[in-house]
Amino acid sequence: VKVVVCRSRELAPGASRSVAAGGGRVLVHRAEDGVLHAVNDRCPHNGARLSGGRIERLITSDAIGEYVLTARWIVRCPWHRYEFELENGRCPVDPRKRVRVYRVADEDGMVVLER
Amino acid sequence: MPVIDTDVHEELTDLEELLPYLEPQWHSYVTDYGFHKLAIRGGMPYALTGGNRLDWSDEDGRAGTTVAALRRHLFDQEGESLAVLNGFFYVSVLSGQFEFASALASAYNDWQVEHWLDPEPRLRGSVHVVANDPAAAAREIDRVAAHPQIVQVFLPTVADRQYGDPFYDPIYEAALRNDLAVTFHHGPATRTLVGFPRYFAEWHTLAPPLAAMSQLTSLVFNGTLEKYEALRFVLLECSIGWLPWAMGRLDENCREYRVEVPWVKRLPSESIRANVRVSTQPLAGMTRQEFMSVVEGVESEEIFMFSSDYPHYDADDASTALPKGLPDGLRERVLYRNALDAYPRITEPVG
Repeated sequence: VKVVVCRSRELAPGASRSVAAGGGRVLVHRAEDGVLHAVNDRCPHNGARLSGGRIERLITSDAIGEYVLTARWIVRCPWHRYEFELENGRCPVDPRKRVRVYRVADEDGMVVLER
Repeated sequence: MPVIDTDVHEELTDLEELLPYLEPQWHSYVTDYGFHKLAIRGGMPYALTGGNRLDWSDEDGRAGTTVAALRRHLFDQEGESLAVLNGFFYVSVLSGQFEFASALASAYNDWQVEHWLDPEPRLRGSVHVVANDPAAAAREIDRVAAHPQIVQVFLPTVADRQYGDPFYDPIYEAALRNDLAVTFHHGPATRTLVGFPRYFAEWHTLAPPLAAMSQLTSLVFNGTLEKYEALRFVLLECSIGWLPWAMGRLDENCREYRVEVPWVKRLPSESIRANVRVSTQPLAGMTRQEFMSVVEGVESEEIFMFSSDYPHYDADDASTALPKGLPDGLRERVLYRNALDAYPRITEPVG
Protein backbone atom coordinates (compact mmCIF):
# COMPACT_ATOMS: atom_id res chain seq x y z
CA VAL A 1 0.00 0.00 0.00
CA LYS A 2 1.39 3.39 -0.98
CA VAL A 3 0.91 6.32 1.35
CA VAL A 4 1.62 9.91 0.37
CA VAL A 5 3.55 11.55 3.19
CA CYS A 6 3.83 15.13 1.92
CA ARG A 7 5.17 17.14 -0.98
CA SER A 8 8.84 16.52 -1.55
CA ARG A 9 9.72 20.16 -0.99
CA GLU A 10 7.97 20.05 2.38
CA LEU A 11 10.54 17.56 3.68
CA ALA A 12 13.86 19.38 3.59
CA PRO A 13 17.21 17.69 4.33
CA GLY A 14 17.40 17.05 8.09
CA ALA A 15 13.60 17.15 8.53
CA SER A 16 11.34 14.34 9.79
CA ARG A 17 7.67 13.53 9.81
CA SER A 18 5.62 10.96 11.66
CA VAL A 19 2.72 9.75 9.59
CA ALA A 20 -0.16 7.39 10.26
CA ALA A 21 0.04 4.34 8.03
CA GLY A 22 -1.55 0.92 8.21
CA GLY A 23 -2.74 1.24 11.79
CA GLY A 24 0.60 2.40 13.11
CA ARG A 25 2.96 5.30 12.63
CA VAL A 26 6.02 5.61 10.47
CA LEU A 27 8.95 7.97 10.97
CA VAL A 28 10.02 9.44 7.64
CA HIS A 29 13.29 11.33 7.55
CA ARG A 30 15.24 13.04 4.80
CA ALA A 31 18.87 12.87 5.79
CA GLU A 32 21.19 15.80 5.24
CA ASP A 33 22.62 14.00 2.22
CA GLY A 34 19.09 14.01 0.73
CA VAL A 35 18.42 10.27 1.15
CA LEU A 36 14.97 9.34 2.45
CA HIS A 37 14.50 6.82 5.25
CA ALA A 38 11.37 5.37 6.83
CA VAL A 39 11.17 3.24 9.98
CA ASN A 40 8.43 2.13 12.32
CA ASP A 41 7.82 5.02 14.71
CA ARG A 42 7.69 2.80 17.75
CA CYS A 43 10.70 1.73 19.81
CA PRO A 44 10.72 -2.08 20.23
CA HIS A 45 12.00 -1.61 23.77
CA ASN A 46 9.23 0.29 25.58
CA GLY A 47 7.12 1.70 22.79
CA ALA A 48 8.30 5.32 22.70
CA ARG A 49 7.76 7.31 19.52
CA LEU A 50 11.14 7.41 17.83
CA SER A 51 10.12 10.61 16.04
CA GLY A 52 10.57 12.35 19.40
CA GLY A 53 14.23 11.35 19.45
CA ARG A 54 17.29 12.63 17.65
CA ILE A 55 18.67 11.69 14.25
CA GLU A 56 22.46 11.47 14.40
CA ARG A 57 25.45 10.04 12.60
CA LEU A 58 26.44 6.58 13.81
CA ILE A 59 29.68 6.54 15.76
CA THR A 60 31.82 3.40 15.52
CA SER A 61 35.23 2.35 16.78
CA ASP A 62 37.88 -0.28 16.37
CA ALA A 63 39.79 0.44 19.59
CA ILE A 64 39.19 1.86 23.02
CA GLY A 65 39.34 5.64 23.02
CA GLU A 66 38.63 5.93 19.30
CA TYR A 67 35.39 7.54 18.06
CA VAL A 68 34.72 7.49 14.32
CA LEU A 69 31.80 9.44 12.87
CA THR A 70 30.37 7.42 9.98
CA ALA A 71 28.13 8.38 7.08
CA ARG A 72 25.35 6.16 8.45
CA TRP A 73 22.33 7.56 10.26
CA ILE A 74 20.67 6.42 13.45
CA VAL A 75 17.60 7.53 15.33
CA ARG A 76 18.15 7.74 19.07
CA CYS A 77 15.06 6.88 21.12
CA PRO A 78 13.90 9.77 23.31
CA TRP A 79 13.46 7.54 26.33
CA HIS A 80 16.34 5.08 26.91
CA ARG A 81 18.63 6.31 24.12
CA TYR A 82 18.56 3.06 22.18
CA GLU A 83 19.93 3.56 18.66
CA PHE A 84 18.46 2.18 15.44
CA GLU A 85 20.08 2.52 12.05
CA LEU A 86 17.74 4.22 9.60
CA GLU A 87 19.03 2.17 6.69
CA ASN A 88 18.38 -1.28 8.13
CA GLY A 89 16.58 -0.78 11.48
CA ARG A 90 19.33 -2.52 13.45
CA CYS A 91 20.25 -1.67 17.02
CA PRO A 92 24.05 -1.64 16.60
CA VAL A 93 24.87 -3.67 19.70
CA ASP A 94 21.80 -5.88 19.98
CA PRO A 95 20.61 -7.74 16.89
CA ARG A 96 17.45 -8.81 18.74
CA LYS A 97 16.24 -5.21 18.87
CA ARG A 98 15.20 -3.94 15.51
CA VAL A 99 12.68 -1.56 13.96
CA ARG A 100 10.99 -2.31 10.70
CA VAL A 101 12.20 -0.38 7.68
CA TYR A 102 9.94 0.72 4.82
CA ARG A 103 10.57 1.78 1.26
CA VAL A 104 10.17 5.51 0.74
CA ALA A 105 10.94 7.63 -2.32
CA ASP A 106 10.26 10.87 -4.09
CA GLU A 107 7.66 10.20 -6.80
CA ASP A 108 6.33 12.99 -9.00
CA GLY A 109 7.13 15.65 -6.41
CA MET A 110 5.64 13.72 -3.53
CA VAL A 111 7.23 11.70 -0.74
CA VAL A 112 5.64 8.27 -1.08
CA LEU A 113 5.86 5.51 1.53
CA GLU A 114 5.21 1.82 0.84
CA ARG A 115 3.70 0.02 3.76
CA MET B 1 32.89 -38.21 38.47
CA PRO B 2 36.11 -36.14 38.17
CA VAL B 3 36.31 -32.94 40.20
CA ILE B 4 38.45 -29.90 39.45
CA ASP B 5 38.66 -27.53 42.40
CA THR B 6 39.30 -24.03 41.06
CA ASP B 7 40.03 -22.24 44.33
CA VAL B 8 42.54 -23.67 46.80
CA HIS B 9 44.78 -21.56 49.00
CA GLU B 10 48.27 -22.63 49.87
CA GLU B 11 50.02 -20.41 52.37
CA LEU B 12 53.45 -19.56 53.71
CA THR B 13 54.04 -20.22 57.39
CA ASP B 14 56.56 -17.42 57.49
CA LEU B 15 57.86 -14.88 55.01
CA GLU B 16 61.39 -16.13 55.69
CA GLU B 17 60.44 -19.30 53.80
CA LEU B 18 60.93 -17.20 50.69
CA LEU B 19 64.53 -16.21 51.43
CA PRO B 20 66.09 -19.10 49.47
CA TYR B 21 64.13 -17.91 46.41
CA LEU B 22 64.51 -14.16 46.90
CA GLU B 23 67.31 -12.25 45.17
CA PRO B 24 69.92 -11.40 47.84
CA GLN B 25 69.63 -7.63 47.49
CA TRP B 26 66.15 -7.87 48.97
CA HIS B 27 66.90 -10.12 51.96
CA SER B 28 67.41 -7.24 54.39
CA TYR B 29 63.87 -6.04 53.78
CA VAL B 30 62.62 -9.33 55.19
CA THR B 31 65.28 -10.00 57.84
CA ASP B 32 66.15 -6.50 59.12
CA TYR B 33 63.87 -3.76 57.82
CA GLY B 34 60.66 -5.02 59.35
CA PHE B 35 58.70 -5.77 56.20
CA HIS B 36 56.07 -8.30 57.12
CA LYS B 37 53.77 -10.20 54.83
CA LEU B 38 50.84 -8.75 56.73
CA ALA B 39 51.70 -5.56 54.86
CA ILE B 40 50.38 -7.33 51.77
CA ARG B 41 47.06 -7.87 53.45
CA GLY B 42 46.18 -4.24 53.03
CA GLY B 43 45.09 -3.21 56.48
CA MET B 44 42.02 -5.34 57.04
CA PRO B 45 40.85 -4.20 60.48
CA TYR B 46 38.96 -7.21 61.79
CA ALA B 47 39.93 -9.61 64.57
CA LEU B 48 38.10 -12.57 63.00
CA THR B 49 37.55 -15.91 64.66
CA GLY B 50 40.29 -17.67 62.74
CA GLY B 51 40.19 -18.01 58.99
CA ASN B 52 40.61 -21.75 58.60
CA ARG B 53 38.45 -24.81 59.09
CA LEU B 54 39.48 -26.31 62.40
CA ASP B 55 39.50 -29.94 61.24
CA TRP B 56 41.98 -28.90 58.54
CA SER B 57 44.19 -26.89 60.93
CA ASP B 58 47.28 -27.88 62.90
CA GLU B 59 47.68 -27.15 66.61
CA ASP B 60 48.82 -23.60 65.77
CA GLY B 61 45.68 -22.97 63.76
CA ARG B 62 47.54 -23.03 60.47
CA ALA B 63 46.16 -24.79 57.42
CA GLY B 64 47.08 -24.99 53.78
CA THR B 65 50.76 -24.88 54.64
CA THR B 66 51.82 -28.41 53.64
CA VAL B 67 51.23 -30.40 50.53
CA ALA B 68 50.82 -33.56 52.63
CA ALA B 69 47.82 -32.12 54.47
CA LEU B 70 46.27 -30.76 51.30
CA ARG B 71 46.72 -34.11 49.59
CA ARG B 72 45.01 -35.88 52.47
CA HIS B 73 42.11 -33.44 52.74
CA LEU B 74 41.27 -32.76 49.10
CA PHE B 75 42.46 -35.76 47.12
CA ASP B 76 42.13 -38.61 49.66
CA GLN B 77 39.10 -37.47 51.66
CA GLU B 78 37.16 -35.38 49.15
CA GLY B 79 38.16 -37.35 46.08
CA GLU B 80 39.10 -34.31 44.02
CA SER B 81 40.99 -34.95 40.79
CA LEU B 82 42.83 -31.64 40.32
CA ALA B 83 43.10 -28.47 42.38
CA VAL B 84 44.16 -24.98 41.30
CA LEU B 85 46.32 -23.04 43.76
CA ASN B 86 45.61 -19.35 44.28
CA GLY B 87 47.84 -18.65 47.26
CA PHE B 88 47.26 -16.11 49.96
CA PHE B 89 50.07 -13.78 49.01
CA TYR B 90 48.52 -11.01 46.97
CA VAL B 91 51.64 -9.09 46.11
CA SER B 92 49.81 -7.00 43.50
CA VAL B 93 48.26 -5.16 46.40
CA LEU B 94 51.59 -3.46 47.16
CA SER B 95 51.22 0.01 45.72
CA GLY B 96 54.85 1.10 45.86
CA GLN B 97 58.43 -0.09 45.36
CA PHE B 98 57.35 -2.40 42.59
CA GLU B 99 60.88 -3.77 42.19
CA PHE B 100 60.76 -5.33 45.65
CA ALA B 101 57.20 -6.46 45.06
CA SER B 102 58.24 -8.13 41.79
CA ALA B 103 61.13 -9.86 43.55
CA LEU B 104 58.69 -11.17 46.16
CA ALA B 105 56.33 -12.38 43.44
CA SER B 106 59.15 -14.24 41.70
CA ALA B 107 60.31 -15.79 44.95
CA TYR B 108 56.78 -16.85 45.77
CA ASN B 109 56.25 -18.35 42.33
CA ASP B 110 59.43 -20.41 42.65
CA TRP B 111 58.48 -21.48 46.19
CA GLN B 112 55.07 -22.55 44.88
CA VAL B 113 56.66 -24.65 42.16
CA GLU B 114 59.16 -26.36 44.47
CA HIS B 115 56.92 -26.93 47.48
CA TRP B 116 53.59 -27.63 45.81
CA LEU B 117 53.59 -28.25 42.07
CA ASP B 118 56.65 -30.44 41.76
CA PRO B 119 55.71 -32.76 44.65
CA GLU B 120 52.04 -33.11 43.63
CA PRO B 121 51.12 -33.61 39.96
CA ARG B 122 47.42 -33.10 40.69
CA LEU B 123 48.03 -29.46 41.64
CA ARG B 124 47.91 -26.59 39.19
CA GLY B 125 49.42 -23.20 39.91
CA SER B 126 49.25 -19.44 39.43
CA VAL B 127 51.68 -16.81 38.30
CA HIS B 128 51.64 -14.10 40.95
CA VAL B 129 52.60 -10.74 39.48
CA VAL B 130 52.77 -7.05 40.34
CA ALA B 131 49.85 -5.66 38.39
CA ASN B 132 51.11 -2.10 38.89
CA ASP B 133 54.13 -2.92 36.73
CA PRO B 134 52.61 -4.66 33.70
CA ALA B 135 55.88 -4.95 31.77
CA ALA B 136 57.57 -6.74 34.67
CA ALA B 137 54.43 -8.80 35.19
CA ALA B 138 54.52 -9.93 31.56
CA ARG B 139 58.17 -10.98 31.91
CA GLU B 140 57.33 -12.95 35.03
CA ILE B 141 54.41 -14.64 33.26
CA ASP B 142 56.68 -15.69 30.40
CA ARG B 143 59.25 -17.01 32.88
CA VAL B 144 56.95 -18.95 35.20
CA ALA B 145 54.66 -20.26 32.47
CA ALA B 146 57.51 -22.52 31.41
CA HIS B 147 56.33 -24.84 34.18
CA PRO B 148 53.65 -27.12 32.72
CA GLN B 149 51.46 -27.08 35.84
CA ILE B 150 50.99 -23.30 35.73
CA VAL B 151 47.49 -22.59 34.41
CA GLN B 152 46.64 -18.98 35.26
CA VAL B 153 47.73 -15.45 36.07
CA PHE B 154 46.46 -14.27 39.43
CA LEU B 155 45.19 -10.72 40.01
CA PRO B 156 43.58 -9.61 43.28
CA THR B 157 40.36 -7.61 43.06
CA VAL B 158 40.38 -4.31 44.84
CA ALA B 159 37.68 -1.73 44.43
CA ASP B 160 39.76 1.13 43.03
CA ARG B 161 41.75 -0.65 40.32
CA GLN B 162 40.06 -0.91 36.92
CA TYR B 163 41.39 -4.06 35.33
CA GLY B 164 39.78 -3.14 32.02
CA ASP B 165 42.23 -0.26 31.67
CA PRO B 166 44.50 -0.88 28.67
CA PHE B 167 47.40 -0.22 31.08
CA TYR B 168 47.08 -3.92 31.96
CA ASP B 169 47.13 -5.17 28.38
CA PRO B 170 50.71 -6.50 28.61
CA ILE B 171 49.48 -8.87 31.33
CA TYR B 172 46.58 -10.12 29.21
CA GLU B 173 48.80 -10.49 26.16
CA ALA B 174 51.32 -12.52 28.16
CA ALA B 175 48.54 -14.71 29.52
CA LEU B 176 47.19 -15.26 26.03
CA ARG B 177 50.52 -16.18 24.43
CA ASN B 178 51.14 -18.69 27.24
CA ASP B 179 47.66 -20.28 27.14
CA LEU B 180 46.86 -19.14 30.67
CA ALA B 181 43.58 -17.97 32.16
CA VAL B 182 43.44 -14.69 34.09
CA THR B 183 41.94 -15.11 37.53
CA PHE B 184 40.56 -12.53 39.92
CA HIS B 185 40.07 -13.07 43.64
CA HIS B 186 39.40 -10.68 46.47
CA GLY B 187 41.80 -10.41 49.39
CA PRO B 188 42.15 -8.67 52.71
CA ALA B 189 42.96 -5.43 50.90
CA THR B 190 39.66 -5.50 49.04
CA ARG B 191 37.38 -2.81 50.36
CA THR B 192 33.67 -2.43 49.89
CA LEU B 193 32.58 0.61 47.92
CA VAL B 194 32.26 2.45 51.23
CA GLY B 195 35.61 1.27 52.54
CA PHE B 196 36.02 -1.16 55.42
CA PRO B 197 32.68 -1.39 57.25
CA ARG B 198 32.67 -1.71 61.05
CA TYR B 199 32.28 -5.49 61.10
CA PHE B 200 33.72 -8.44 59.22
CA ALA B 201 30.23 -9.78 58.63
CA GLU B 202 29.49 -6.67 56.58
CA TRP B 203 32.79 -6.89 54.70
CA HIS B 204 32.47 -10.60 53.98
CA THR B 205 28.95 -10.07 52.62
CA LEU B 206 29.79 -7.17 50.34
CA ALA B 207 33.46 -6.86 49.44
CA PRO B 208 33.93 -9.96 47.24
CA PRO B 209 30.87 -9.53 45.00
CA LEU B 210 31.13 -5.74 44.79
CA ALA B 211 34.76 -5.94 43.73
CA ALA B 212 33.97 -8.67 41.21
CA MET B 213 31.08 -6.64 39.77
CA SER B 214 33.28 -3.56 39.49
CA GLN B 215 36.05 -5.42 37.71
CA LEU B 216 33.69 -7.30 35.42
CA THR B 217 32.02 -4.02 34.45
CA SER B 218 35.43 -2.55 33.69
CA LEU B 219 36.40 -5.56 31.55
CA VAL B 220 33.12 -5.22 29.64
CA PHE B 221 33.01 -1.51 28.89
CA ASN B 222 36.71 -1.07 28.23
CA GLY B 223 36.31 -3.73 25.58
CA THR B 224 38.77 -6.11 27.25
CA LEU B 225 36.55 -9.17 26.91
CA GLU B 226 36.16 -8.60 23.18
CA LYS B 227 39.76 -7.56 22.59
CA TYR B 228 40.94 -10.78 24.23
CA GLU B 229 38.12 -13.02 23.19
CA ALA B 230 40.33 -16.11 23.27
CA LEU B 231 41.30 -15.41 26.89
CA ARG B 232 39.32 -16.84 29.79
CA PHE B 233 38.69 -14.52 32.73
CA VAL B 234 37.90 -16.32 35.98
CA LEU B 235 36.11 -14.71 38.93
CA LEU B 236 36.66 -16.57 42.19
CA GLU B 237 34.72 -16.63 45.44
CA CYS B 238 32.45 -13.70 44.70
CA SER B 239 29.04 -15.48 45.00
CA ILE B 240 26.93 -16.25 41.97
CA GLY B 241 23.43 -14.90 42.62
CA TRP B 242 24.22 -11.37 41.42
CA LEU B 243 25.39 -12.42 37.97
CA PRO B 244 22.01 -12.63 36.18
CA TRP B 245 21.12 -9.15 37.48
CA ALA B 246 24.52 -7.78 36.45
CA MET B 247 24.30 -9.25 32.96
CA GLY B 248 20.89 -7.66 32.49
CA ARG B 249 22.06 -4.25 33.70
CA LEU B 250 25.25 -4.40 31.63
CA ASP B 251 23.23 -5.22 28.52
CA GLU B 252 20.75 -2.44 29.21
CA ASN B 253 23.45 0.17 29.78
CA CYS B 254 25.26 -1.03 26.69
CA ARG B 255 22.16 -0.40 24.57
CA GLU B 256 21.65 2.98 26.22
CA TYR B 257 25.25 4.23 26.15
CA ARG B 258 26.78 2.42 23.19
CA VAL B 259 27.71 5.79 21.72
CA GLU B 260 30.03 6.33 24.69
CA VAL B 261 31.73 2.94 24.30
CA PRO B 262 31.44 2.20 20.55
CA TRP B 263 34.31 -0.30 20.73
CA VAL B 264 31.87 -2.64 22.50
CA LYS B 265 30.34 -4.60 19.63
CA ARG B 266 28.55 -7.39 21.44
CA LEU B 267 26.09 -7.40 24.27
CA PRO B 268 28.00 -7.82 27.54
CA SER B 269 26.00 -10.92 28.45
CA GLU B 270 27.23 -12.61 25.27
CA SER B 271 30.84 -11.75 26.00
CA ILE B 272 30.47 -12.97 29.58
CA ARG B 273 28.99 -16.26 28.44
CA ALA B 274 31.83 -16.61 25.94
CA ASN B 275 34.86 -15.89 28.08
CA VAL B 276 34.08 -15.35 31.76
CA ARG B 277 33.91 -18.21 34.25
CA VAL B 278 32.79 -17.92 37.87
CA SER B 279 33.55 -20.25 40.78
CA THR B 280 30.74 -21.56 42.94
CA GLN B 281 31.87 -21.21 46.54
CA PRO B 282 30.28 -19.88 48.74
CA LEU B 283 27.10 -21.66 47.73
CA ALA B 284 25.70 -21.29 51.26
CA GLY B 285 23.32 -24.19 50.98
CA MET B 286 21.58 -23.09 47.80
CA THR B 287 18.62 -25.26 46.92
CA ARG B 288 18.28 -26.91 43.56
CA GLN B 289 15.61 -24.38 42.62
CA GLU B 290 17.80 -21.44 43.66
CA PHE B 291 20.83 -22.79 41.79
CA MET B 292 18.83 -23.55 38.66
CA SER B 293 17.29 -20.08 38.68
CA VAL B 294 20.80 -18.59 38.53
CA VAL B 295 21.85 -20.94 35.72
CA GLU B 296 18.68 -20.07 33.83
CA GLY B 297 19.24 -16.38 34.56
CA VAL B 298 22.67 -16.40 32.92
CA GLU B 299 21.31 -18.54 30.07
CA SER B 300 24.31 -20.84 30.15
CA GLU B 301 25.45 -24.04 31.80
CA GLU B 302 29.05 -23.22 30.98
CA ILE B 303 29.85 -20.37 33.37
CA PHE B 304 30.05 -21.88 36.86
CA MET B 305 32.95 -24.01 38.11
CA PHE B 306 33.24 -25.86 41.39
CA SER B 307 35.55 -24.38 44.02
CA SER B 308 36.17 -25.31 47.64
CA ASP B 309 38.11 -22.32 49.01
CA TYR B 310 40.22 -24.83 50.96
CA PRO B 311 41.26 -24.47 53.76
CA HIS B 312 39.05 -21.60 54.83
CA TYR B 313 36.32 -22.00 57.41
CA ASP B 314 33.46 -21.58 54.95
CA ALA B 315 34.85 -24.02 52.39
CA ASP B 316 32.46 -26.05 50.23
CA ASP B 317 32.99 -29.80 49.97
CA ALA B 318 33.13 -31.34 46.52
CA SER B 319 30.93 -34.20 47.70
CA THR B 320 28.10 -32.16 49.21
CA ALA B 321 28.22 -28.55 48.02
CA LEU B 322 26.15 -28.76 44.86
CA PRO B 323 22.42 -29.14 45.38
CA LYS B 324 21.02 -32.62 44.94
CA GLY B 325 18.95 -33.31 41.85
CA LEU B 326 20.88 -31.20 39.35
CA PRO B 327 20.74 -32.56 35.80
CA ASP B 328 23.73 -34.89 35.25
CA GLY B 329 25.09 -32.82 32.39
CA LEU B 330 25.05 -29.65 34.45
CA ARG B 331 26.66 -31.32 37.47
CA GLU B 332 29.41 -32.65 35.26
CA ARG B 333 29.95 -29.23 33.74
CA VAL B 334 30.20 -27.52 37.13
CA LEU B 335 32.41 -30.16 38.70
CA TYR B 336 34.99 -30.31 35.92
CA ARG B 337 34.03 -29.74 32.29
CA ASN B 338 33.73 -25.96 32.59
CA ALA B 339 37.17 -25.85 34.20
CA LEU B 340 38.60 -27.76 31.27
CA ASP B 341 37.28 -24.96 29.08
CA ALA B 342 38.46 -22.19 31.40
CA TYR B 343 42.06 -23.36 31.69
CA PRO B 344 43.49 -24.18 28.26
CA ARG B 345 46.44 -25.95 29.87
CA ILE B 346 44.25 -28.43 31.72
CA THR B 347 43.66 -30.82 28.87
CA GLU B 348 44.45 -34.24 30.18
CA PRO B 349 41.67 -36.62 31.17
CA VAL B 350 40.95 -36.23 34.86
CA GLY B 351 39.50 -38.76 37.23
